[in-house]
Amino acid sequence: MNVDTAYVRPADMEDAISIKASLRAAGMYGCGLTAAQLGWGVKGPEQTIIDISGLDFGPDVCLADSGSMVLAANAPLERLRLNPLISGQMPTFADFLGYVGSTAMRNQASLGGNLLWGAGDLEVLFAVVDAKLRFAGNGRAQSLGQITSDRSDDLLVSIIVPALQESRIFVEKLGHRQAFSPARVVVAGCVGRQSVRLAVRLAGNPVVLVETSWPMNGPLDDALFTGDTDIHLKTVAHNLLRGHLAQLAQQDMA
Amino acid sequence: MRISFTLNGEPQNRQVNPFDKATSILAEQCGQESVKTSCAIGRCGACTILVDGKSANACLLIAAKMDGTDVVTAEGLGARADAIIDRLRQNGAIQCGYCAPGLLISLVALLERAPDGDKLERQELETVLAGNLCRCSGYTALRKAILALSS
Amino acid sequence: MNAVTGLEEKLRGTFRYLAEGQPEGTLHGALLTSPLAHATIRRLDVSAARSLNGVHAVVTAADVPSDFLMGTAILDRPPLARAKVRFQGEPIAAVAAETKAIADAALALIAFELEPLPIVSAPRDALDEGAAKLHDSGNLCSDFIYSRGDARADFEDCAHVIDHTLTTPRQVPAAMELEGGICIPSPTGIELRAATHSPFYTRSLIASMLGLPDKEVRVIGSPIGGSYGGKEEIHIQPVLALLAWTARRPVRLVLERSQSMAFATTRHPFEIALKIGCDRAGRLLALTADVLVDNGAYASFGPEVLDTGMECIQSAYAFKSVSLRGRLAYTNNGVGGAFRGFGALQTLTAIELAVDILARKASIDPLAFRRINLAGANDPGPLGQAIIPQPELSKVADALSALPVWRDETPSQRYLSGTGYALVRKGEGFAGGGPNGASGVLALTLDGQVTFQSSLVEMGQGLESTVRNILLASFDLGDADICCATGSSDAGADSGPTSASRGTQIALRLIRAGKMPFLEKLYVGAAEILQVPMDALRLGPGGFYQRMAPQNKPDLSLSDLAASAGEIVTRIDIPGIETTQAGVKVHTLFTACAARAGVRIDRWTGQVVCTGLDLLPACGPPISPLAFHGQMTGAGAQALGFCLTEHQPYEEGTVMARNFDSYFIPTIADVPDINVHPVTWLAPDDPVGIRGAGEIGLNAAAPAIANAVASALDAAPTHLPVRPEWVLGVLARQGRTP
Repeated sequence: MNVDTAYVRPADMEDAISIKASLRAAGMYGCGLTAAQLGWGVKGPEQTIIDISGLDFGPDVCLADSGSMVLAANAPLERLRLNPLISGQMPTFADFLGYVGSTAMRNQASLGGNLLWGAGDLEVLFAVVDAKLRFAGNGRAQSLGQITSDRSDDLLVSIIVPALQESRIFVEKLGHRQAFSPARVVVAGCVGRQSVRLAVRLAGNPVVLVETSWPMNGPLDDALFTGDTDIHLKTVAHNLLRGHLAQLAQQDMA
Repeated sequence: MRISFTLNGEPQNRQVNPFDKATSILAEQCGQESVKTSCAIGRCGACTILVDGKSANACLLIAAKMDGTDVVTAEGLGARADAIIDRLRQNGAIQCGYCAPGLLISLVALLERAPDGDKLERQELETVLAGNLCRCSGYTALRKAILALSS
Repeated sequence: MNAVTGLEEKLRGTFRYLAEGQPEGTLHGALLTSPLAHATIRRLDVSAARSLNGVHAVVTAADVPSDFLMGTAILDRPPLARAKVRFQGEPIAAVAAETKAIADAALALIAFELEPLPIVSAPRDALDEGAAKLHDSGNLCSDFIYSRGDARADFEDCAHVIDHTLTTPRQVPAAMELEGGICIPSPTGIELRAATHSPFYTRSLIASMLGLPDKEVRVIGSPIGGSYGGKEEIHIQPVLALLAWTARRPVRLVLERSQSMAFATTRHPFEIALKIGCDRAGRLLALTADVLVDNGAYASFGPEVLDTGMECIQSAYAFKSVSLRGRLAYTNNGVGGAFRGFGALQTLTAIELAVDILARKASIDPLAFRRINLAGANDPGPLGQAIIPQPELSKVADALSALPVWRDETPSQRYLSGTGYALVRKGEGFAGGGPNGASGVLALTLDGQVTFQSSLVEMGQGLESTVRNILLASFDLGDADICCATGSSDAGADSGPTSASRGTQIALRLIRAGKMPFLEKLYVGAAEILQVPMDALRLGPGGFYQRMAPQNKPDLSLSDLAASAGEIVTRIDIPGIETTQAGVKVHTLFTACAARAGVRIDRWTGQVVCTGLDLLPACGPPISPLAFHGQMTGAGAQALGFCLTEHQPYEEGTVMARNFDSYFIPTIADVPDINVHPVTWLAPDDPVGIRGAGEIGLNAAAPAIANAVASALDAAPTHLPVRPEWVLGVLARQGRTP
């Protein structure tokens, strides 16, 4: 394989990993490249792009016996949005995908890219459902929150959404208009029988995840609303979480 | 690098920089003036093309990724677009027209995806077309034309 | 009938805009623009760039005659910065080279040194004594003063008085087609293909810059891929022409979006402080208005925008007394200019908000309040001028009251909803002094088509389809017999700018005026060829028929007539419909429109969504119904952007939104279905019989949306676009936070 060029399409997963190993920091995995290329400028990227969009990571979506859902990391977002397994198992996710970028972008952009590039909307939702990321050559799956540094050094292969059973999920984004907008705030929650996981991203800040007991008694954890941003966005996040949780609590009463 | 792809059914083989944008390859090298550059960062939809049957922003598609694909521009839609064009005409959905080729591509992709007899919901139409900005029309006639076409 | 010509070609991408299809060997043009908002140019050395291989022209202010400045009322703008830069993104130099890469390399070789000057960022500060001056004349670009009656005394008689201040956004026209074009030189002149609303004006401007006679400059100004006023301004044409004329080679120059977001003229931000009062019966007695406008760095259309805004600030109402002051201040915030709605949008939104606040205070229904105060059919215009009577105003009010009731939003914990109304009027065409008159040509061309030639331009509004409909209604001809030639200085007759909603009016009046003399020439020619008396002939589809011998084919086809008689040409000149008034610029022809808008407000996020919009334009019977509807719905969406999503912020002279990832024009998901209910009745003796559709929908829709927000929140917006922050703040103050 000739890796002199700044762009390379590996033949398979092993090939991809060996190219990355030989290039080390001079190479990076890329998939849809919709977000990444906006930072390149006219000269192109500084690293060699190892394009994994064409690799076979298995079906876009499959359901494991345990009820968990395994999603291929290089699946384009629009294909996931239209996937009947997702609209059946996790309609909140399918609907939310409609607010991530535009159709043309979603046809290119991948799930793995959105979760790893650091500002993706989906990270908030996947944090509350405790999705696990599985990297090539390493059987152990890691939670989103644990992937802190050098995220792009390993090859992300699949994302596992654990069985949600009776959990109820919500996710919402405030943008600058009704559709196709960068997020100002993204909040998500996953309410289980005895616990609730809540996550918030304020503007460009990292996602904050908090787990607490359900039904909740007491105010929302202030930790959710930290980060360098204006007070308004914190208020919005607070209102959204409180509003959704109140609706769910009402449902529980009924 | 050398890439080969089909453009509106015709085979193409071109020497490119892998990070050239499809907008410049298609518009400047292949004479596809339907591929309009307006924002150049994927935020307006004026350069929308079909890549292997799916809509894509040509301005966010690097040349290297065109290799081995089947590319269709508005110029190459032929009869696939006839019914949509008729409806858009009857409703007066297009004004200055600069967004029109990209919009037409998105509509063809959408309507070919929806299985026969499926009624296109308003929300789905809006979700799919939110990336095609039109500054002239206010979208009212467009929505009317397409919802009626699919019902 | 199509709304626009070329619809299928536009969709299939075979339609050619002016910057497309350049000839072989065309050079790539590129601009060097100022990174600073206000600075003295200490040094500008282009010698290295000029000597780069593949570079054919590098131009700077030194290549422009030193007294050449652009503008309308005030000439203050050089096409390339001269000695000073006054806004970020102002062109300093331009190059034409064989490739983009060479052009970029040449730009990088231009050595320049800018010495920063203090930045004037707020119009209020601009007018302070000690402010840095953008121009030698000072920072007050123009002002407006008008009063009628004794407002101070009348406020004493008011039972209710309110004041309200509104700040409006810097809205960017943001047409999908960028500013640009192609210029092709010949040994003696140039052909300039670049969007303009005024081919003849652009021609004489460019000719005078290059020192050429007018006839050596050919300007093709349309078709345009969207303008909304943005390309009414002179944009890159002078620089493009200079490059091509210098290089002696065709040049193509098109801005990038990030350049356009800084360079393109924008809607002027207005700060409008109003005080209005009414008596116990709800009759408006007095209005005072103090308006401060951020003009940006050059006058451009600023003075006209201010005048129009001030003229419209009384909306469609009869105030007993008014006291109006407006000031236009130079700042380093880009350049304000023409944009659909033209100053009236800003002031109409403010006054309609104020009227609703006052009506509520007086406990009178907002529609009833408007009716009480509607200007009378034969009242003079808002500044006391003679105007074409507007008996349609009361019809518009009737139609607004008669709209079917909204289906109310289901009340919920989360959402509030509101409905807002507006009833406005705005002058059509230009104020007294014009250019309001126009010329055009009716011709039977050698290919046998009855052609209306004008320099009006097609930008998607449907001018050509409208002209075709007028021709078909005026002459008993078939679709294949007529032609509409627009958009260039070839017409041989200057029709004036296609702006200020005047295009349709001008075309209609020109064809109406030319019809009889033109027909007479056709009949004379036909009678001579057929050797029959004129009254034995009838013009019909395809040509002339002898009355006595009816048949399917004409006895003399139009092409045979043209072949024998030669081209038959009638030049038409019409005067402007205008009056003048000492001291103020006034319009004579007014257009009325009402609107109703619905909004839903999210109490959790503060976000506002427009859920419905009705527009009731009183423009007479639409000539091209689809195009007419399109003008209204498009205007509605731009009004929505003005009220809810669009603003170009500047911070210390720095452009903050450089592309559509930070400037948000409405998507299909943002715009509700917009219903258009034309009020077709105009006075039977109305001298035109129609009104232009270009702007009026915008001017009514924006205040209706703003009033819907006010009604949902019980608080009138003070800044547009309405920010979710403000909404949540209001709800918190009202104790209505969730």
